[in-house]
Amino acid sequence: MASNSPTTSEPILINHSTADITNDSTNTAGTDQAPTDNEPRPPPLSRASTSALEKCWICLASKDEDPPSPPNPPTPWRHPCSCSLQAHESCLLDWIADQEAPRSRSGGGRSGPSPDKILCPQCRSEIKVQRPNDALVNLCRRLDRQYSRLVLPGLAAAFTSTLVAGCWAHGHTAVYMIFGQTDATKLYMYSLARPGHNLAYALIPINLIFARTRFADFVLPSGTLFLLGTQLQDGLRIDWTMWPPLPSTVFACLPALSQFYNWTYEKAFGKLNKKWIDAVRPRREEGYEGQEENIADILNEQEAELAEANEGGDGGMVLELELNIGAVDEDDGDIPPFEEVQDALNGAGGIAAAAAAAQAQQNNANANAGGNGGGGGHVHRLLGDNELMDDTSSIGQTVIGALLMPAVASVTGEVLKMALPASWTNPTRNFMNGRFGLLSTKWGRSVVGGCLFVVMKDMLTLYCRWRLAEGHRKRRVMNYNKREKVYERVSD
Amino acid sequence: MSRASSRASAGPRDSRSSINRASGAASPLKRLTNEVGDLRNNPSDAVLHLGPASDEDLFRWEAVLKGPRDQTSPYCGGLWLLSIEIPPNYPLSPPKIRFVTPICHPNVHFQTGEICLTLLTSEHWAPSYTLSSTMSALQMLLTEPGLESPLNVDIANLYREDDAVGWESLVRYWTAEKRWQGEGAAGFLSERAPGTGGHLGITQ
Repeated sequence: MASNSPTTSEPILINHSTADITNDSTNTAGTDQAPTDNEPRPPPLSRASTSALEKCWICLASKDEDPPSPPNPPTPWRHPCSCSLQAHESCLLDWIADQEAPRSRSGGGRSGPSPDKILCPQCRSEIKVQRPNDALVNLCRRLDRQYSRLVLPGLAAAFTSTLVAGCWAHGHTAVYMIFGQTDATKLYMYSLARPGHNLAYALIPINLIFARTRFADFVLPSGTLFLLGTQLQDGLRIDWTMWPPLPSTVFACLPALSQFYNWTYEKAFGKLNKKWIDAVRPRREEGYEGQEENIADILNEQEAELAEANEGGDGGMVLELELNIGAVDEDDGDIPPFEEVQDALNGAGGIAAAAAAAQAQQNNANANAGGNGGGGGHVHRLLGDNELMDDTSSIGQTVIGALLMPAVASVTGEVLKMALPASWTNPTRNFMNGRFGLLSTKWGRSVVGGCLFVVMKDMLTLYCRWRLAEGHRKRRVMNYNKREKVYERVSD
Repeated sequence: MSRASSRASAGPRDSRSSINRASGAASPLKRLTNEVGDLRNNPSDAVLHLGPASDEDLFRWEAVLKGPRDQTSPYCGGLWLLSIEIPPNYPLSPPKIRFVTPICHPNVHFQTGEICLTLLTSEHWAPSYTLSSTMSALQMLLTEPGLESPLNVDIANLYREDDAVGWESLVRYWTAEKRWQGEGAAGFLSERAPGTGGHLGITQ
């Protein structure tokens, strides 16, 4: 659909020949020719046949119609590509500017970025524009283009770094809460000297969260052993017989402890738990789903949590290796030996993870038992558990619960300190190895407190479930006394 | 062509040339007047009429599109009034064309007359298209509808399902039913020179 069709040659031919013969005659359009042209011309036929095609493909004017020079100097003609199209340079430049505009204005609404190359609309070959070449301008344009390409990656990077910073802040706070001001500051000062260690703070909340998922399942069995193994390799770090234990030993053992606890819990209360949950279910759903399935799920969950706890320990392990290397020479501190604290830092992720895991286990067991039958949801609502069965909120609950665990452990530790006799919590060194008693250190109280919290929460849940199951059988629908307008208690 | 000769051929012009000179090289007015001139010399086969709706406003055109000559096409013999709105940066942006006479076609909205044609989008439009060639493209669109993005889903479905009897009869019905009958049932148009404009019934 090119604009120049050969049939238009006829009138222009006439136009030219008349112009050639008499300069001052009028052309077909009725306009006067400029009387000043006295120059000889090439043979009219050949010129006319070519000039017939010589129309600007943008403004559709032929060469004859070029305006006279005084008001508007004639713009040169260009044939920018291999095909027959040619145009005024000014028309072409306007069109190219329009093509290069990032987005055309309201009238156009062209979408997408401007094309890299200007192509001839007919033959699709490139139209090249010669520009004054300024190195600085070129550089700026290139930089600008690169910069615009970096927007999405830049946003992603900003988001990620924000996330990491948030994780770091949380990990840092968690360490402060678990270890107390003094020890945490020491740990922080120590890690400041080693960037890698400092970054490991950010791993703590990640460990805490992942420790509650099933993904950590596999890490658990190996994790504790590995941690203890590194202690052995390190030499002198493992002392099983001595009480109180090193912080690293405690945190390394937390995953195993968590698993053991879960296993015991399941052995002791699994069936009862199941029975009580079933007791409150709507009757029509009884037997709808296999009970074995439920139990299996619960078991799975518990294992998952244990594994997760392990992973927490795992994350800390890297730290421990490095910390131990650097710590030997600073061993003789007044306050808890530095290495101990360092070790503890390694385990910081682990402890919280383990405690979280233990707690999560309970939650998950609930969720599982309830969620499986579909009818279980109301159990938790009846319990005042706030546990919604809907997936997204339970994910949110898991995450928030995991992140809150250090704070919970720390607070429980403080409560312990207030509740226990002062002789237990006073900082007195063990005469065997010169360490402070477990409960006399802040971190020790936090660990014990976290574990206690989990156990107590489980017990409370069990109790509520038991009461609920008991009460379920004794439910009666109350009668409404229409005369006195009150509900009446029913007695059998 | 030499500078001298081009200067020689340019002289005092009629009114439309003076517009050219006043408004620069890529002026839409200049381009439109050139198109009008070309139309006068070389009328389009696809239309019964094509030209500015009034002598005052070159940016609002109207056209009467003819159905394809092919007798087997259900659009054969149809006449449709089109309104053409020309953007202020015209050769760079496509004209906005709309069917005023309802047409039953997959790519034309039956009520609004909106046309879905890639040529008329700013990505695919090029200044080398003219209004005349656009009219030919529209006539071609009648026989070769694009079914990817139909504006008239019902008829497009008939096309897709190869229900030839269905869509042909439907198209024939609407082509005859809504056939444009302008002043003098197109009779007066032939009496006027093509491209001279004239009010064909668009009142806007």
